Amino acid sequence: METEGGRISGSQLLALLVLTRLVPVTIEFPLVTGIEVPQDAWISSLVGTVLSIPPVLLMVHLSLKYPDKTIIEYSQLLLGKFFGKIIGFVLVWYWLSIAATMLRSVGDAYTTAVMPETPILAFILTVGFLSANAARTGLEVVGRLGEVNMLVVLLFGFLTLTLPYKVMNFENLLPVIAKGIRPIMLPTGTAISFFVQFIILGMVVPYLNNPQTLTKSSLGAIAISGFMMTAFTVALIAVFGPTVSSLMLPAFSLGRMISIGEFLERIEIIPMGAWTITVAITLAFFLWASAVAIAQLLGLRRFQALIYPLAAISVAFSILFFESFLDLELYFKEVWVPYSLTLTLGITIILYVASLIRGRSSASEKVIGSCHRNG
Amino acid sequence: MSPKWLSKFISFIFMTAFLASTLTGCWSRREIETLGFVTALGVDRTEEGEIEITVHIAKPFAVARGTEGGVSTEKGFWTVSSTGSTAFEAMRNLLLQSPRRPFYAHNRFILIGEEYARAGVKDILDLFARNGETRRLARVEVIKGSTAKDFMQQVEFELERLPSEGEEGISRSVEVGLSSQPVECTLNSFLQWLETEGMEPIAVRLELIPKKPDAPINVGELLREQVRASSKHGGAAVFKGDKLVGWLDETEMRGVNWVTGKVKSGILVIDQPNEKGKLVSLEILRAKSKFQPEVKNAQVSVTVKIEAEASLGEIQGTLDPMKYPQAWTEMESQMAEAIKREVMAAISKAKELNSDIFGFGAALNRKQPKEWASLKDRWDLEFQRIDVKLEVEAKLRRMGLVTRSSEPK
Amino acid sequence: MNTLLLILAFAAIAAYEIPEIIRRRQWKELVVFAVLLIVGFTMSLFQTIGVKVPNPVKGIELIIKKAAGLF
Repeated sequence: METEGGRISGSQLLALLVLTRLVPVTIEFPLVTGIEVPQDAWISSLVGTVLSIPPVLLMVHLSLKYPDKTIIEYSQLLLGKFFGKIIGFVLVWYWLSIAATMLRSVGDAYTTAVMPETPILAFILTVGFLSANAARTGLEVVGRLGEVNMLVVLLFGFLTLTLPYKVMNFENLLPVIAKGIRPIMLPTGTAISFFVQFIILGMVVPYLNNPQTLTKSSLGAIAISGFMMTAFTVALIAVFGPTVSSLMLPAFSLGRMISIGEFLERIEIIPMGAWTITVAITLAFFLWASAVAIAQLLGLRRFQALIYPLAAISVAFSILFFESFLDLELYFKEVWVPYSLTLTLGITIILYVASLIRGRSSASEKVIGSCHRNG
Repeated sequence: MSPKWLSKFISFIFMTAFLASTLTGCWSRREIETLGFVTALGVDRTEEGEIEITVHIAKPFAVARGTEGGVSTEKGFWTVSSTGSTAFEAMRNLLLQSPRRPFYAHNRFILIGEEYARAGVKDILDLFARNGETRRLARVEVIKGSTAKDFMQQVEFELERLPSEGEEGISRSVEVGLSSQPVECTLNSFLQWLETEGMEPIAVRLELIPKKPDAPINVGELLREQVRASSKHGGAAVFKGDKLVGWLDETEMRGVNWVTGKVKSGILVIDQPNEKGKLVSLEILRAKSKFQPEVKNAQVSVTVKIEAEASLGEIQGTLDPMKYPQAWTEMESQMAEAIKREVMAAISKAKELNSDIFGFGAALNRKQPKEWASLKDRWDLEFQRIDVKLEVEAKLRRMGLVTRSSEPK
Repeated sequence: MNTLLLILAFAAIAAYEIPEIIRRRQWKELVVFAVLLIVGFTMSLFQTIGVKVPNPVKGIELIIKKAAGLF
């Protein structure tokens, strides 16, 4: 009884995780917008990257203890059916709320920057529909899409952050930490709060060709996306100086600063396009995870049928959650960080502690459990 | 449906969606024939206190006919103004007069009348930073001694059909830095200077130069001998906060550029060492500079180090440097003096206007943030009594294709 | 008009998925599918016709602010 038949490789998982992390990076409003000391944002991003390694390694370690089970399955094994299922449903809620946030970001970004006359639903529905189609075909397709598109996205991201070189002034990065550690803490927390989305790897482990690549993929994803995020922050501060904290869509504004000769300008749609690809694939990934999770929680045999209804729910959420772009921005500033951190770290720590206790009491049960599942 | 086929199909959809999103020109359904391309935009305040926006809109048909070999007798652009209680409203009100919707994405210039600039420009710049159609790379230029409207109604360039093209050409040669006397200022840099602690903004200074005031405006360009008025781009407009407080002339502006390290080339004029009353022009080849602020015993001092190289460009009178090698060193020391004079002129003007356009305070903040924190509230006073130490190293490297100037028999 | 489009969209999803589920005789799947679809439909419908629905994000915000107040 396997809900998902596909298998993905380590590099595909890496690509998916990188893309997941790049969603907030490419447009990146939560990291630099409205923060107190903008010239130190790159430190936050660097420190945040390093600090997110331990929690992600904990997630990896936990998942590798049960390499043939998703986080939904082993949480029931560890905490019993009732509490395990509660954790499962909380995770589904978390993923759906992320999906809704991403959809809303796409809509707000497009209506703010590119086509203000078009209703926001047009963008939300387009991206939602495309992603649902991809998710419905299963993890294998999503993984392959991620692998191909990660290179495109990284290339576009790299172009966006290097081409405005003419207007960069690296003196803007100074002075370093002039106002003490305190103003850096919130953006650092923001950086970590996006990395802990990696809890989704708990859904993927059983579908990996070789589960042992999990550690490498996760650390690679942290390194790549951490580098991108830091490079983007540095470029943004160099180009915009203190005004960076006033930017609604920093990466988009960065693309607008590209002007090479008389011909290569007004190409801000490049970061926009790269970001849209990123969001669409990540959204497919999260929809897939939610559908498989629900299927496993309720003992269904097929997750595919759940994708479209879940996509419809995320679209409805995306409209319901936020009334304006400001609402979304304030959500990232005030709600998202504690929400994401407590939820993911709490679940990981609870499950880890439970696994330690269980591991001590009976080592044999685990083997029986896994045989049963394969049978 | 095999998975392989399906994945191909999905990637196809994704690529299509991506391509579609890059072709927004087609998506937003604004036909090019319905747009009027704004090439320059001016801001003033009317006597009633309303904001007046003046734009140059390119006339595509007039310009196009000109390039096809035939001669267009029509002006290549249209100057139109409208008012509103805010800038955005005034811009929308243009629609009441313009058959084509003004389109600002290609606008390269934000011109601000002197009077408006003196009252503060922050409020108008917000619109251009916020709006998705305008660009942060547009240049911010202040019109000395006139309103933007007057300037835009009269300005024309002899060599270009569109004034914006003329100004663009001049701005581009400013970027190359052949005289190093004007300043480069985009909306992005202006906003940055405005927000950077210990630094005041400067913007491009434009002036209307009357040529032949009675020349008719409305007939085609080829029917008259000279344009009515043209424009001069040089020096700078000095701000304190967002308010215009004064002007730098060309020499003073190059003084600022010497300090901030933006001098690329230019002509320095010094006395001829061999003959009284005659002059020598030196062409600056390259220049490097850095400045270090320091706080000692509650006295802020700035050490400015400038290294410049020049070549001999022109000699008046008679001089043969090969026969009088000491003339060479004398010219070098004169060159250093000339640079010092320019820098000191800039610094005393900045002190007079009490505006830290060099960013001495910002540099202090980068180097000694703690000292800066204690100084920044009374930086106005500190800047007035700042002690500037100048170290100029001037080198003369070349003398051109001849050694001595020609000596009449 | 909008409501009509909404009904059409959700009907399309149902028409697309239900025959497949029935062919496979997966009754449990059918129930879950129907429940999720109805939830999605109700939420969308409420937004289309303008019924105010409590916003869960505001709830989370409240919890976080309360929790922050404890420390």
